Amino acid sequence: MSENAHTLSSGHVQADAWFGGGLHYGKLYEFGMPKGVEARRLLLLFFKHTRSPLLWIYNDEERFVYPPAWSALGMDLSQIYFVRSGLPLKELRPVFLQKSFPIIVLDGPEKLNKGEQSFLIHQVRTQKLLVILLRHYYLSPRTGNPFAHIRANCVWHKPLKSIQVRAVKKARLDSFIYSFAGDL
Amino acid sequence: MNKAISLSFHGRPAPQRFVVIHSESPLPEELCFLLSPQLMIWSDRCFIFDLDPSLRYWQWQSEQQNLELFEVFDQILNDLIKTPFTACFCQHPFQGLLFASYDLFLGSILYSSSLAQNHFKDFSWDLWISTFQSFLKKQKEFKKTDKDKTQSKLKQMQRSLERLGSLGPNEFRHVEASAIERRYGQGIAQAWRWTFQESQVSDLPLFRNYVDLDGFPWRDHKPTSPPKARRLLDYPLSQWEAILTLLQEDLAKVKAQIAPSIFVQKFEWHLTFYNLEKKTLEVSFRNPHNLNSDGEGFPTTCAQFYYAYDELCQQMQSQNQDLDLPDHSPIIEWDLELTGFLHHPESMTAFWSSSQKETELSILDLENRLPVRLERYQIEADFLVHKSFKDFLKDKSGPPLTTWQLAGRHRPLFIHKKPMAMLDEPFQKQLCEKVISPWWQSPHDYQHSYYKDFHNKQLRWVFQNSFGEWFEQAFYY
Repeated sequence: MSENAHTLSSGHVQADAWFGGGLHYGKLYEFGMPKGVEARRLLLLFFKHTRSPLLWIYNDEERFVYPPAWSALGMDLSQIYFVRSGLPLKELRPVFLQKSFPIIVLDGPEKLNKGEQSFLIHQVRTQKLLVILLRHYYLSPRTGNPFAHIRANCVWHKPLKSIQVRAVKKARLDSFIYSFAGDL
Repeated sequence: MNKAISLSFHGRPAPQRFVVIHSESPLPEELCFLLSPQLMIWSDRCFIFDLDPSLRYWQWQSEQQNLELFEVFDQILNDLIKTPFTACFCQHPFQGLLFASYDLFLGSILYSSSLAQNHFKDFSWDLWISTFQSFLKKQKEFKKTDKDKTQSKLKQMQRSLERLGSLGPNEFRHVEASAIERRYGQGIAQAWRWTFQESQVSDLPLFRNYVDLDGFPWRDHKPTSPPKARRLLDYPLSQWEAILTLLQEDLAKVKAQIAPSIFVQKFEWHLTFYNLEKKTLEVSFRNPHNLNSDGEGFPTTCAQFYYAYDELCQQMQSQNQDLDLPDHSPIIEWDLELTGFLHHPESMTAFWSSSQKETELSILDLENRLPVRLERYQIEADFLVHKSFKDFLKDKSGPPLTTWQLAGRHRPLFIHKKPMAMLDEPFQKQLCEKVISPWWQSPHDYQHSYYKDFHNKQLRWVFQNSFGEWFEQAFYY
């Protein structure tokens, strides 16, 4: 449960090990997290220990952020900012040009073209940002994002009431199971 | 699974939007535009500030100083005003004017606080009536009113109160404005409403001024010679890249006319097009912005100009899309005028800057570069789903929120704006909680039972209302 200049740890042994010691600044991660899986809780495990401001960019006209649930999961509401945008790299370009938000979550953006992907990864590396790209569908190994450090799908495992994280692009481990029990 | 059963109550009161400052001697000129770009000068000894345009910025400052918002203002005013004064933070200017007519100077005071309400108990009818008369006098300066009729009604009211032997308005605080209107007319009833009724936050932002001022004759105080720049173009322009270079020159001219202690909040950009059509663009900044700290070419300032210009172009394009005309005419001239700003004395700026973290400052600056506002929230002490959070506002004095935090444990991270009616009863459901809304407000549908439901391999949050109808409230993301 710690944060240093390079990584963000969750305090969950399996999760940290799977991600190679935690989430790394200067890297882009891509996850397939469709609605109804409750997989964003896994990410909040990492974010709840950070003191850096976090920007959550979501793309849905039909829903609100529900802050009490974020707070109940340990997030410091004074450090988390939300903004709605479907085209974040076009509409919110200044966000990526400076390090005001070292952690940025792109929750369900519209398709990023190659130019936008290149710009994003360039900024991630030069500014040492931690950017998480969340897709509202499962990622396919056939179409890829060469810039993502880890690509993984989060699948709801009903019998165990757990989330199974399966790598789409990762050499070492195939999957791990994250159970909610004990983390509430 | 925890089951929380609650009784929740009443709507949100509006935050203190106005501050009325009254002093023994004329107020210093530096006070103008200190707290907000919007102020009304009631007299040389009484200023009324509308904090709405700058409230968010002051909340930031209070957060950085780890002080209550009220304490920040108190500190600033005590430094600046050397004579005894009263600064009343209130929901309506008339409430502050009542304290301005009071014999005692109380320093900074919140109208809703117990201290202020204790003083209010001492207010005599003479004080209330003289405040109302000074208001009528001011109102007559602005527009023709039926003052004589109101005056006669006021005398009639005075006579009734003498006969009743009443000492002050506090004794009648539970009398409805409608009852006053029936007896003494609309004018007095309006002032009565301003004095006692707690206004509610309006859900319609465009109507906020209308609702909050409730007929109060507000007049903005404008600077005598606002910094401005005029541009007559040698040739018509429509491309942003070409406009930008000239705009940067004009911004430099405006910057030369203002002191370093000026923080910009609003420009007015009056454009004249080739077809002689005139349009005015309001270019506003979310946080007060210092032109001196903007980099070369004013990138932050120009970003906001670009968003405003782009929106105008889109509007004009949509107007002309069915006509055989160019998308929009090019510009032939413009006037640039600085219409809203905060004035911070240098000592204060240095004090703020030294205590602020670099990251926080950069977020303030970043917000000024974006076309949309960044949102931050906090929990509100309420179990009802749509009332259990609000915009972030540093507030240490509220009740402990542990219970409401716990209530959020089984709720989803995002919810539908409007619950969606379901045709069938959910099949695989598990009870989470029952929430009871104020039965005296909605006597028919007062209980919602919330369930987690696993449907089509998706976990969702549903509820059943008092009539047994089912609604989908959210998916678990």
